[in-house]
Amino acid sequence: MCESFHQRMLERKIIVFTMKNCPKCPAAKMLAGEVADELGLELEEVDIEKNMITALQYNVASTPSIAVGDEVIVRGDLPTKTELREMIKRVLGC
Amino acid sequence: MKLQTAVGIRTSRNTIEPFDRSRIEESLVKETGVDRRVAEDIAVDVEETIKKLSLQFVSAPLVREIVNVKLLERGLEKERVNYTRLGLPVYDATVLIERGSRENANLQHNPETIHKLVADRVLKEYALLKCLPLRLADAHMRGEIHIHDLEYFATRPYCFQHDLRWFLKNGLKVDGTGENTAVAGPAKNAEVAVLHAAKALAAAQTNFAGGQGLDFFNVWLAPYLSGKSYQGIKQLAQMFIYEMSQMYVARGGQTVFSDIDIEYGVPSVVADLPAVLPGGIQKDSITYADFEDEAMAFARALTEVYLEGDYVGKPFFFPKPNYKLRRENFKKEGFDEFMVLVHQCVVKYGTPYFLNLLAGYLPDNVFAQCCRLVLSPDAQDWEDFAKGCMRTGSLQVVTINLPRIAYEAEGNDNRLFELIRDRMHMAREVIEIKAEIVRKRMEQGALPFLTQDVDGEPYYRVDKVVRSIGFVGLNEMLKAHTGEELHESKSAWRFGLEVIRYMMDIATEWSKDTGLRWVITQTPAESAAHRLATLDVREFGEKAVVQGDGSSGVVYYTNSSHCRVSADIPLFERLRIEGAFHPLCNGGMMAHVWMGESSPNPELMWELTRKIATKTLIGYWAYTKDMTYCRKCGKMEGGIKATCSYCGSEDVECYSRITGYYQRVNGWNDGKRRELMDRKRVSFS
Repeated sequence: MCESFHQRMLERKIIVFTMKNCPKCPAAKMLAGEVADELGLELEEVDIEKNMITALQYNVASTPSIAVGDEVIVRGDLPTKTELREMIKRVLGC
Repeated sequence: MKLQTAVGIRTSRNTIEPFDRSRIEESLVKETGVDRRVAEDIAVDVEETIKKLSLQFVSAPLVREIVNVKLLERGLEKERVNYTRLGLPVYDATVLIERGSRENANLQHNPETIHKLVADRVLKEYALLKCLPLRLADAHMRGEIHIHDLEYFATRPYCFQHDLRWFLKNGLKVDGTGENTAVAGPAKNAEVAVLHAAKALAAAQTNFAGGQGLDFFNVWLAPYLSGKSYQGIKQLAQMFIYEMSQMYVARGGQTVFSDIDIEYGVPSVVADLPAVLPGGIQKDSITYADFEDEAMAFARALTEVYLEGDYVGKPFFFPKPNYKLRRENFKKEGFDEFMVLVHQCVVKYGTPYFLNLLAGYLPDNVFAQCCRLVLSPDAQDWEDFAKGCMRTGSLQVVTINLPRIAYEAEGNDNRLFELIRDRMHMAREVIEIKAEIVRKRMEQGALPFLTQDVDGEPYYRVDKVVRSIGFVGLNEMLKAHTGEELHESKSAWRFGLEVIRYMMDIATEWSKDTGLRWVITQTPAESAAHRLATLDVREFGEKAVVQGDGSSGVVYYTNSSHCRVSADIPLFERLRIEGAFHPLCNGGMMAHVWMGESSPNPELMWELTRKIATKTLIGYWAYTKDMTYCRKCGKMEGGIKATCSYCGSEDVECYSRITGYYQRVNGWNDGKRRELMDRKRVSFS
């Protein structure tokens, strides 16, 4: 029987995808942490080199990337705090 | 001493001559290197056998077969291999002449393809017998690996991506030397430039087995379009596409298997390069950035021609248009409008292909060609690119039969990974042999288009092209090994990713060790998917996990790391699962969206494309529309139909995308036809 990955992966947490020597990653991690605190969400960091397969299952191959649940909202870019907050709210429907 | 019998020999020189056993002696010594006494002994033995047959005439091939038996009786197997004849039974030749073959969907049944098919049989046998050691030939024949394009193994490399600037700057020698054909100088006007582009691809095809591509097609030609009206530009677009669709000359009567990469205007990666201008002139002050309008107009014109189809309303199958999706395009005026036009073509014919540079792992000058080859240039490629002759391709593809490995591993993970490594080593050996063959053919002057001089180097550089290791049936491997198919659980999906990453790691390790480019590719498996599944059912019986209909023997494996075509899962779930594999397949990947007969709104399809590009890792994909063309009333309709919905005629031809290209369904092999029936189409209405 087919299980839905979407259901399994849709958790109310922010995942920030980083890797070593990525210039924008520290800033992305800090930003995601601030927005997670504001919205009361859990934050998880995934190093895409160390956890390549986990990142691929999120369809992430570039950094910094940010996902909410299973939905990647930022890919290989650094948004502003306002942009990130709005994107997260839109995904969570709040 | 020469002895003669009364029997006459019908020789392969088309003469009838008296039997002369010394000829057997001489040929045995010359062709097999046996000792003269052994040769004489065999010749006497053969003469006795022929005498006993009491025939008036025998043919030279029959004499040779009798000699082969005598060699085997003496345990001289290696000598027999060198002495034997290549060819095919009269019955098979008759079938090819009267009915043709369905092994390659591009082959029409016509005199040229009959010649090709007969020659293919001989050269396939030659490759297995003479080029490859027995264990590798047997690995192919048993179905552990699949060596692609065996008919060309002894004579030519696989596929190539050309740089049109080089031909525009230096002119064209279609035979590579100018000795057998006329030599053209650099094109001075647009019409000639477009014809040179077409002829360069056709000429190259005679030296290659697979696809021929031109990157930045509309950009490199843009300087030639300066001052032309849009109507004039469209006429040129039409001329090129018709040339490529109508030159029915390549590889024994086929159109050239060709691709062009289309850009929206001039991308920044090439904007500052000095443009090759009419007459092959270059001036530092004139760069491609100066021809943005012409490049855009040409992109639009080409797309409009694809959208209109041919004179009777059928789509153009070649050259395959690859549209590159770049982040910078979204900032350019008119991009949305252009992409809606492209998607009108998607909706009508499914013709366009998309190369996704938004996924974050493909470099700026990546290109797509052939069935799915996507190549990321390395540092030296960039140098070639700047110098005006960026060229590379794939030397050879060998596919690993993944389900077979699962049957042999019997649930043991360690064994499974060991076997993957073993099979990859087999593939590597095959490709290394191929590299030596191509090198030798170049030295022998047998690949003249490839030995043309480019700044002191040959046009084709064996060490610069990629060595492609493909795979088929990851889905069935997972089912056999883990009990679940790729789409059935996150853990099966994860295990599948570990398998392909393991393969990629091995290829990367080899690249570091050898300084050569070993890549993992999603094999198109047009015939391999059917052949390998059929062999596995024969070898493993019910243990074999195959798709299709086991009772009739029409079975196939799922291509590469695709989800089963009939899997009942939402489109985006399929694309997320399949997309995860694309960054691991650095030698080529492709995803399919089967549209069936639906004709959705082009704007909505452009939205879907944008979503695929930004939300998944799919690097290259196409939407496939099934189509039926009525020969009686000349109308085209969506779907695979037995009769025309307009006039009821049964005289119809169906078209769909077999793997990485469109073709008549009639030419498909049984496995692919079955897959066509099984495909789960997405409902867009």
